Amino acid sequence: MRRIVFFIAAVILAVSLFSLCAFAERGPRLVDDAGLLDYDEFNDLTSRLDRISEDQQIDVVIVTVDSTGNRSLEEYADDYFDYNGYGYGEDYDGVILVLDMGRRDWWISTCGYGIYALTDAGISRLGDMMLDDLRYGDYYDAFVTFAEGCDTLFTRAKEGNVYDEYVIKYEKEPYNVFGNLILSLIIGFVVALIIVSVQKKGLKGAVPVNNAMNYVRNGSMNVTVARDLFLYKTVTFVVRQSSSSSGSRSGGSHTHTSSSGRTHGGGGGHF
Amino acid sequence: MAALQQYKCPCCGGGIEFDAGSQNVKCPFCGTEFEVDTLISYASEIDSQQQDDIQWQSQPEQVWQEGEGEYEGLVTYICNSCGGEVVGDQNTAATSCPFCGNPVIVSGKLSGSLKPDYVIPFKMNKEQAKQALRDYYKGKKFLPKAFKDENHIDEIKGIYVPFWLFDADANADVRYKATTVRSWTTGDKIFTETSYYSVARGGTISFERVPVDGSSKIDNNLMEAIEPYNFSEAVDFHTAYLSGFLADKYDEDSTQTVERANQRIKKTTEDAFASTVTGYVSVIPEHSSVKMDNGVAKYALYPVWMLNTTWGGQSYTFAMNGQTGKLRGDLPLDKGAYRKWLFLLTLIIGAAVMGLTYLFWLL
Repeated sequence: MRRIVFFIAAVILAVSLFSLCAFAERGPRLVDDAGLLDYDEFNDLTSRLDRISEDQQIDVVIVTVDSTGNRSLEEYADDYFDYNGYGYGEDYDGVILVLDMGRRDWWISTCGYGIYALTDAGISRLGDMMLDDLRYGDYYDAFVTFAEGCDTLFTRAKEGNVYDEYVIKYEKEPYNVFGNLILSLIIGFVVALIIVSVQKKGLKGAVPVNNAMNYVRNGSMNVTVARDLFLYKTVTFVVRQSSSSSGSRSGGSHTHTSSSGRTHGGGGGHF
Repeated sequence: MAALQQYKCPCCGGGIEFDAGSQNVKCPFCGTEFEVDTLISYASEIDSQQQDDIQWQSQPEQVWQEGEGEYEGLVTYICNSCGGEVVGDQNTAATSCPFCGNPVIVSGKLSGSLKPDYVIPFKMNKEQAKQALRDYYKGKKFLPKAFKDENHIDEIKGIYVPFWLFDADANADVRYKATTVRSWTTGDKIFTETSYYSVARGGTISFERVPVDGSSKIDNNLMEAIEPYNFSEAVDFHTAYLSGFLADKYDEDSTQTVERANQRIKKTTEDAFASTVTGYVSVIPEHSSVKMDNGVAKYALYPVWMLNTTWGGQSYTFAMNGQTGKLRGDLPLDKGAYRKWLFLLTLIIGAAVMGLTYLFWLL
């Protein structure tokens, strides 16, 4: 009897150990449970994801599902990443995109180096880039965009140029050459006109003196009346703008802890 | 009546001139120098002997004045030295004889009520006036190069210009509306408090010897531009100072010119009282009344070098303050250079601004 109890305990221990070991077993990088891709698209995308993941040493995973059960999409994405053995290195560097076709939501969950490379701003940028394709059902295009986008963002991050909020502001609006040229020429013309007008004025010598400053008798000024009478006052106020000061290097990634105890970043939206 | 007066050198008999450098009278022929006072007393002795001549010489003047219309305003005199006819207009008070070159003074134009009260003698000579004009051209970018290079002075004259000097006591009564602004922040609100005040200022201020040019022939603006003169160097008038220069009698009297002096006095009075209103963010005059009490106007002769040049068929007149050397006058504009610089500067500054906007965009 004791042996049986010991055996059962051993089995339970072994199973639980095994389940921990299951963390290490990497699943496929493209799981199309919702069936959105045809055969060629599936193969092409899988090879892309494998190539990018191995080159960058960061897992890039795409999963499509019809339903996430009673879990939120965020929990589902985190768990899917944690329990299917994705992630390189001790920090489990990786990123996973999950499409919930039931609710038409998407979620990107990041882990390890993925958190650092894909900031909140980076994730929402990827979402923006995918949005139209997702809406019109061009899932293959959307996934390629995601995969290549991750590749680019990882490369940038490794070059020390993490895509973040303060970068967006300027990248969204490219330098307006024409507008700035017109503005600069107008400013240049006004300043030039002032300069040449001063020079031109120097040619006018017969300028009348409209005051008699030079002829005031010394000390003759005598102020006999000096009344400063207060009349009334008005008070106005303006509400201060919440200062989203430009150039402040806020941004980065917000993180949370998933059910497995790992730290994830992420973001998502509806399509 | 009008007559010519010449100061003769007691040494050689030549016509002598006032010398700006030494502030004495100097004979250009024998080089002898005299103090002005010495010459005045010497001349007055000689004058008494010449009374008869003066009566006689006034005769031709009448004939000319009654003559042809086109000569109206012209007056002739007989030169005491050579007997030649000297032609001047009605206001000429000092000139030189066109035949013998001797300086002559029409004493009748400067006697009685027409006699100036003061004169400021010339301190600058002809050479200094020419040099001042050359210096005046310097640093003027839009002055046509040809004007500078081809420039030769057509005429250069030392003139005693008649000025009226006005004294005035101004009585000011000015009211302003002024504001102060205070600003503070509570929570997310920025409050601005504007306080309004009625500010009154009153009092007196006195002016001495505000000059107004009394000759209609001379540009008033030009005369104001070469102000001020240092009146402490003025002396009581005597015709001896005029010797060697031109001089005009006034043809606009003090009642015609007082308005200009009062305009200037009013402006300075208002400025002076406005400058006592301090501590406000904005000061706007609401009411201003300046009462002026003009005293007796004084009549003075101030020294001016007039330089005339002609360029491109147009004549340009410059005036130099004969006391301080301040020279002013309008110069022509090189339109080509003006446009070229405007264009170039627009490009250069535009490029610089564009560079800055790009730099700002990069940050």
